[in-house]
Amino acid sequence: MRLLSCTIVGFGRLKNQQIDFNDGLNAVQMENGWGKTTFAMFIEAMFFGLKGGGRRTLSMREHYRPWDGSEYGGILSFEVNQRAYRMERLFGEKDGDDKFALYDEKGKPSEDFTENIGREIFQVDRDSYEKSIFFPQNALGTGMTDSLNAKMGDMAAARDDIDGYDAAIRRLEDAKLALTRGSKGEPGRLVLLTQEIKQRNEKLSERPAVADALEKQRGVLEEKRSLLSEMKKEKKELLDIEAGQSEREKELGIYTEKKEILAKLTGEQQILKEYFSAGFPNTEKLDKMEELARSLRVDRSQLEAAISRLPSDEEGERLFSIFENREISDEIMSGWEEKIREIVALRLKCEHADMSEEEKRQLSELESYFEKRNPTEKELEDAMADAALLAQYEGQVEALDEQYRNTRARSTADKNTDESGGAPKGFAYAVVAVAVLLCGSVAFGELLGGALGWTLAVLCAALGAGILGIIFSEERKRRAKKQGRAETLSRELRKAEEALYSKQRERDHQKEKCRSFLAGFLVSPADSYTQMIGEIQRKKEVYQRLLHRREQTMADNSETIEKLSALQVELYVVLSQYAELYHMDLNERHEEGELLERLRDDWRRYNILCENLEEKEQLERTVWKEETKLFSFLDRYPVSDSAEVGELKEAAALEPSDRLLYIRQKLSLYNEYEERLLGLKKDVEEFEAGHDIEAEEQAMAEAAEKKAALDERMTEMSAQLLKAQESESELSDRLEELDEISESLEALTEQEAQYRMKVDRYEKTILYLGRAREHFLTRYMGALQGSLARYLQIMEVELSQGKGGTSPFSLDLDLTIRLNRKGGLKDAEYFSSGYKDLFAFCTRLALVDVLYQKERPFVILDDPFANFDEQKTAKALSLIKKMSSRRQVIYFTCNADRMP
Amino acid sequence: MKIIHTADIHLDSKVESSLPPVLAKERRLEILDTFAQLVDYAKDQGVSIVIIAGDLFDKPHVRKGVRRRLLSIIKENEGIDFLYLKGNHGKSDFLEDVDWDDMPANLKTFTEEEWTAYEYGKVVISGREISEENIRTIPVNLILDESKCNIVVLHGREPGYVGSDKTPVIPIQQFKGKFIDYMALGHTHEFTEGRIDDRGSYCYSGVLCGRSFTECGRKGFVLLDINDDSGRLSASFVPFDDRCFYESEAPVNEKMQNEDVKKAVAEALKDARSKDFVRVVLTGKKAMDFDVDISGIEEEYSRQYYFFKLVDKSSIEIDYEAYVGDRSLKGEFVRLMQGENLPEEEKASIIDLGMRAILGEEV
Repeated sequence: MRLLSCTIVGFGRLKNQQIDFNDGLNAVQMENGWGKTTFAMFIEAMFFGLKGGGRRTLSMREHYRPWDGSEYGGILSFEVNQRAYRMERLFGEKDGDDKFALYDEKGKPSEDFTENIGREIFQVDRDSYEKSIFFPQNALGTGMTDSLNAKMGDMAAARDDIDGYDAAIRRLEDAKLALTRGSKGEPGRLVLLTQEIKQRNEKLSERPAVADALEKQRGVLEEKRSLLSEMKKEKKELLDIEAGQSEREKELGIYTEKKEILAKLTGEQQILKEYFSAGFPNTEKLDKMEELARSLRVDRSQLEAAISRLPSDEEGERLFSIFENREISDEIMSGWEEKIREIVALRLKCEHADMSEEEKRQLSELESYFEKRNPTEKELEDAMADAALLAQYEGQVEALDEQYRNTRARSTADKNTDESGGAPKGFAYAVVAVAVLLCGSVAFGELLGGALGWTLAVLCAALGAGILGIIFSEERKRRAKKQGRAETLSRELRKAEEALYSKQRERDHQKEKCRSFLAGFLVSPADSYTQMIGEIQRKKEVYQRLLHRREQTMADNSETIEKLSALQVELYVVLSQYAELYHMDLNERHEEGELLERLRDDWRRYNILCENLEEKEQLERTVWKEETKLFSFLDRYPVSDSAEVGELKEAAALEPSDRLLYIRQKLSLYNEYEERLLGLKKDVEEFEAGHDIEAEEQAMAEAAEKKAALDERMTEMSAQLLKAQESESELSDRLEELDEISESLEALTEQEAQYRMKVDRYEKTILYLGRAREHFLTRYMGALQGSLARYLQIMEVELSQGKGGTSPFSLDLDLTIRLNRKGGLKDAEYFSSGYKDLFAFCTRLALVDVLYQKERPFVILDDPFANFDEQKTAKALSLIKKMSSRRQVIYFTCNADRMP
Repeated sequence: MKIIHTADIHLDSKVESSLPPVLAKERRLEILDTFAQLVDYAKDQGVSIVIIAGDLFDKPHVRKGVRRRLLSIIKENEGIDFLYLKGNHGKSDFLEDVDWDDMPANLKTFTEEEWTAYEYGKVVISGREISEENIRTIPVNLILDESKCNIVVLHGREPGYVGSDKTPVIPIQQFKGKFIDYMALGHTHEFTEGRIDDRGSYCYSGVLCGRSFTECGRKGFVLLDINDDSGRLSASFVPFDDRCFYESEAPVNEKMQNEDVKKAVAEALKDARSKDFVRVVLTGKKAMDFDVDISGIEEEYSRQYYFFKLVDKSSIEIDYEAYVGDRSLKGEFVRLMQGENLPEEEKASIIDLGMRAILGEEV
């Protein structure tokens, strides 16, 4: 495809411009500001229409609209598929106003392409066009677009994968690092496990040494056991020899034993002899002393009982203070008791003749009641008569009051009847009648007129006057009658009122009289004065009766009281000294019975005290005598030898009977020793007469010595064996620990193998994913990469192979190029801007080669080599010259140095 | 007369490595307890002799506690004779620190040098440690009385064994016509029995208790009952261990999801007892993008069983055909892996990892 010519009617600053294009290279040098970019935009707009703008930028339509309002658009002639076309586009205010027309080479309208002619010819959208065949100034960088992607084979899904490749590799590397990280802060699990295994292996390395030591230690142990076992055998032999000794040797043993016993018993008998140095007591003496000891024990216990029966010292002193040096006896107290009984009887008698407590209480109350005023019977009868009269007056006043009220009611009723009676009503009727007649007369006169009219009018008037006269006459009569009746009622009312007031005064006088009588008494409120005075009358009667009863009682008791007083005086004189000791007041409380009771009780105690004291003194004397006798015997046999110091102390604390038993035992022992010594001496003397004792003893001593030495060696060997066992035990424990470590190591090693397998899998996955990526890119980006490699070589970019002969550069699906430098792929960003432009230029050329293989479109270069140095510019220009042999190149520059 | 024949108890030895240390320790103690229970059983049933046909231990060093308890069990049961043949793992320090004076009288051993015979009335029990040196002459040197009930104790491989085990093979055929009534053998961990000749039979009692998932199923000992008058012998296997190892496979396929896998596991567990050590192995092939919820299933069954382990030995089903025309990195990756000369399991694993990495999933 190639451009033939164009006519720019109006587009930005370009107006009425006619440009013809050649095949191959069209290099145009224009000064800055001519409109190179505008021209390039015109070509794009002719193929793709105008592009909309963003919110903050002018749209292409606005940007390139001629400022003078002239026609906006132009004509472009081109050749495609070896057919020439002329395309006209005029741009309006908006997309809908745009006009598009296509004509074939004969000038006839053509429908080979629509207004989307750019997409239809190039098979890419505007964006892709800009990123491929249009090389703008200062923006050579390109990238993959959906449209380019589709044109290259629809690798949208693959692109997502490739985009996720780096993340996938990172994920795998992270997982691997989690196992293999060597940092001290957070080491990987495999590293930790390896360290653990190493540590355990280090510990386990001791095992052969420990096992060897254990083996040796067991050897030592075995040796010592063997030695000990031999010693045991030797000892057993010795014991066997001992056991197999002859009867003679046994007898020697018995002799030796008897001799030892003889010596021992002789010594002990000597001690007993010393004990009985005061003389050996005979059995009878000991029996007597034991009898005495038993009596002493009984007497001591009786003495203790007598002492225990004595009261406390305070109590004793108290009893002595009461009875000592006082004349008192049971008989005297019986006499006092008799008198007390008599006094009590007299008191009872007085009490029985006396008034009851209720009567006394009643009398006391009535005395208080009548203390202020004690009315006579006459006064009470008068008062009762007054009260009766008052009741009568009350009734009369009530009747008069009723009468007065009735009269007054009648008078009031009469007045009311008069005021609202028929006079006014009759008067009113009369006035109405007169008014009717008068009106009738006027009506007759006026309406009928004439004589009849006037006659009727006069008759009516006369009738009215007559009626009026009758009414006035009747009214005067009625009023006179009423006045007479009112005067009568008034008189009756005054009379009733006077009678009522008179009776009320009498009643009040009588009431005052009754009140003044009752003022001196405390009476319960009652309905009438009669009831109240009646209550006083009843109390008065009771009072009189009780007074009479008291006088009679006093007269009856006077003799008994006198007798009682005499007896009391007689008794109290005697008892007062004791009452004082007991802090009792006989005169006030008459507690002579209680006093005598306490006195009797204390008297009994006092007598017991005296008896006990006497018994105690007697027992003390007996005990003293017995002790003197007994201890004079016991003291002859003190346990004084040093060997029995402990026993001595015990003996001193013993009872005499126990000490006697002790002496008896000693005596018995002495006698036993005496008897045994006789037998032993006889046996020893007989044996010595028949044996060479010295030689036999020496042989036995040697055997015993040998046995003792063997025992000592065995003890020593046992101790050594024990130590050896301890060492063996320690080594055994250590070996157990190491065996446990060995067991645990197996699981850890298994775990380590699993971790290592995981690491291996991660590494292989990373490796194979990398290879897959390379394969993929090679498969789908191969042509592009090949073309790029060719252009990079033309531009003499240094290319070096990667590790393992991998490609010297990589181009991913985003058209991002990375070059291999120093063993790794470096992003274009690491290079200078000149190189970056160079890489981008080559990438664009490669992209154009790959994208447009069938229909080779023109390329427009808008001074793209501004950042290139002289050498690169020369190569680039050489390259576009070369390229122009295969496709139409439209090259703009403002610099003559950059002209091809 | 009643005799117990046991072997390969392997006291105080290693147990299943996948067990947590606490359970491993418990299991070691359980094996010792089971031996003590065997002795109690013997006492209760009137058993006179316990034959231990080798490998009471399987390592040279035995823990002190175990040694002491074992000796104490033997000493406390004076009425039972313990006939102890060491076996190929026999070199242990079991009796190292025992004073020979204190050696229990009821513990009787055998030697490598010659046949040792113990007579119990009509019953004669003969035994010998075998080695490469004496294995050829052992049958020749064995002279037995036809009129007795003859029991022979040996420890060695079963005839026809194929494997790397170097323990000498017992030439059972050469014992034909030796008047053997019962040959009490040790070494093979499974209960196995067979005929020697018309008169006698041989028997491996198997282990007393399983120690790993290679020793699954009920284990126990052989009880011999000998008629005192006729000398006729009958043998029966007595399952005795209370807890055993149970392993079962749960097949999966590429269509299964976790619920299906759970059902397959439940099916595999239908014969398992709650007190057992249980392991379920997933076999077959699963879909590439499918993760088995191992921890979830283990958590669920760990509450039901004394020990539960789920092992995923299933491989990933890679559908290479699905990626033939796939124009993506994933497709390229799968196609690349398909052509690689790696084991299929490794290939599947790498593909799975790569796919997860590309899809942003946990790897």
